[in-house]
Amino acid sequence: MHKPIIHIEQCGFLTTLQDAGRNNYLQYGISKGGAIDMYAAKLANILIGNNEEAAVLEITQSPHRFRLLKDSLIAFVGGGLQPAINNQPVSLHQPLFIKKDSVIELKKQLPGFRLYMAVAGGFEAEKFLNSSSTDLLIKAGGFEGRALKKEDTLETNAASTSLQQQLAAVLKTSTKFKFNLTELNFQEQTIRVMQGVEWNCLTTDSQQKINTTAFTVSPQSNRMGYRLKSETLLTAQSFDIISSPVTQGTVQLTSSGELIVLMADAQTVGGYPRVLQVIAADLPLLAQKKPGDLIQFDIVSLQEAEDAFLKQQSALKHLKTRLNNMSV
Amino acid sequence: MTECTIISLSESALLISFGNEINLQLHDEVMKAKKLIEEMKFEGFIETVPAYNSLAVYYNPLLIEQKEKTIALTVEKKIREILNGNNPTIKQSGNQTQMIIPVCYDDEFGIDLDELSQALQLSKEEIIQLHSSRTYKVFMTGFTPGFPYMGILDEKLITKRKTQPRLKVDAGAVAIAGNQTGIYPSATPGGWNIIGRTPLKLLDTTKANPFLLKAGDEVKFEVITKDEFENYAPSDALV
Repeated sequence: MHKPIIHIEQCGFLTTLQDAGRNNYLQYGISKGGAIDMYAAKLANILIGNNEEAAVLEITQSPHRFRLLKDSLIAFVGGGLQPAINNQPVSLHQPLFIKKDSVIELKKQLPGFRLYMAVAGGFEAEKFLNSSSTDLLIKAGGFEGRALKKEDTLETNAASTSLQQQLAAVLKTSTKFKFNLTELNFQEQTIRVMQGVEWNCLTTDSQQKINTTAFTVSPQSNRMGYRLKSETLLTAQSFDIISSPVTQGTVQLTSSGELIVLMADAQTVGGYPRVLQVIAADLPLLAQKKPGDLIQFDIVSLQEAEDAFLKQQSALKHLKTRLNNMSV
Repeated sequence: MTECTIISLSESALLISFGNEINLQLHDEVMKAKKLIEEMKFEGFIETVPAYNSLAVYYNPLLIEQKEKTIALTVEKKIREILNGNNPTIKQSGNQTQMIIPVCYDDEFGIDLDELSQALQLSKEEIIQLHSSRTYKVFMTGFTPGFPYMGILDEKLITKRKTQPRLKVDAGAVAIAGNQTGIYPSATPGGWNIIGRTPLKLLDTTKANPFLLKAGDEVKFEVITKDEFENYAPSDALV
């Protein structure tokens, strides 16, 4: 039961359907993909009672206008853009009930770079290797394997669950929910990292500079990787690495002394030294950085990295439980 | 089991390394470990990624019951148990498929043959003969979806990558670099020396199994003429 839900009247430069990513095909060189700010995508789904892995719209900072084709329960999470409905700004990180024929405008810029829009039931998307994520490299999954453009119409899946019907009923009387979420501060510049597999390839001097160097996100950054620029170049004792697996968050040192952080559409193997690994809990924050933004690394232990990730995930779980137990 | 080191690649992946060189024996260890771990699947296991001398094991940290100081250590212990266990059923890395890949080495496709002939001090015919007379092992696929890294080439064919990588290499291009040979599955930038082209599709996203090759497969190249190339199911030969 697919129903048209939004018609795109104006589209920005990179808006794609994404879910929790593609498992089990890394060994064939297929990226995991999925929402680059996975925390925001999951939060958006949870807020409206969806499966947290449902397909959402990942909207990169640039003007958009959508027309809503049916009454809908939706949520916006992330940053970069302030959503307005029929010219009225609406809250991020809230379930919203929006009437058919409303115009959603995303124009005013906010800190951050990517906004996620979830709709009740999730967006209908083409599956490729069991995932709805758009793989732009091999042009498969999502919406015809490509970024969305003007005049595309997106559909939604399935009928509402009872939780979603309850949410919609409450929101129709314009009650607002207060969830007291600890929101990510997108202005935060510190990105926590662990020492990478080839940390020891860095010269001692470069190792000491990691925590004190300011890096700028280069314009040559995309969903595959963020290139970082700095005034002091890092040096390795050796670049002689036999190609080996890499993953989302892996920081490679290229022979020109530049760092590349592999992001959602990371390649699966690589031959550059893996000098650092961005911790899973901070990948969402890095994903909200845009070209020109400054970042600084802070080296933490594996244990701290695991704890931070578990804490972030348990916050999502807690929210889910609260919503499910909501007596409306 | 051969000695291996295990370290974290991320909070959801461990990297098992076997030695520090490229050879068939080490790769066989990688493939054996892969098979063992996949067959003995532990709670939270997702997938593995084999490379020349290393294997990544991906897991969902939220599904691991932590028994050690870190989740990673808990998983490492499980993996060591699996690798050190007695599993009489698994002696071979197994699943070896032999694939014959037709290649046309015509000048039109083997665009670097002339240059290689000079650099390697071999005639084009010798290069083709050396390349097509061995059986190769697929060490891994990666960098771009479906690209097989195969080896090991005859010593006489060992060569450097091109100093200026091409911005676009055609799909199906068969190439060599170092002691490896590979096939470009789709049109991508590439720095390997191109010696021919196969009419086969290495990556076909319309198929349930889109991949022609996987790590551990054995590959032999079969010389075909340009005429045979063109008549080789031309409809699906090239993207």
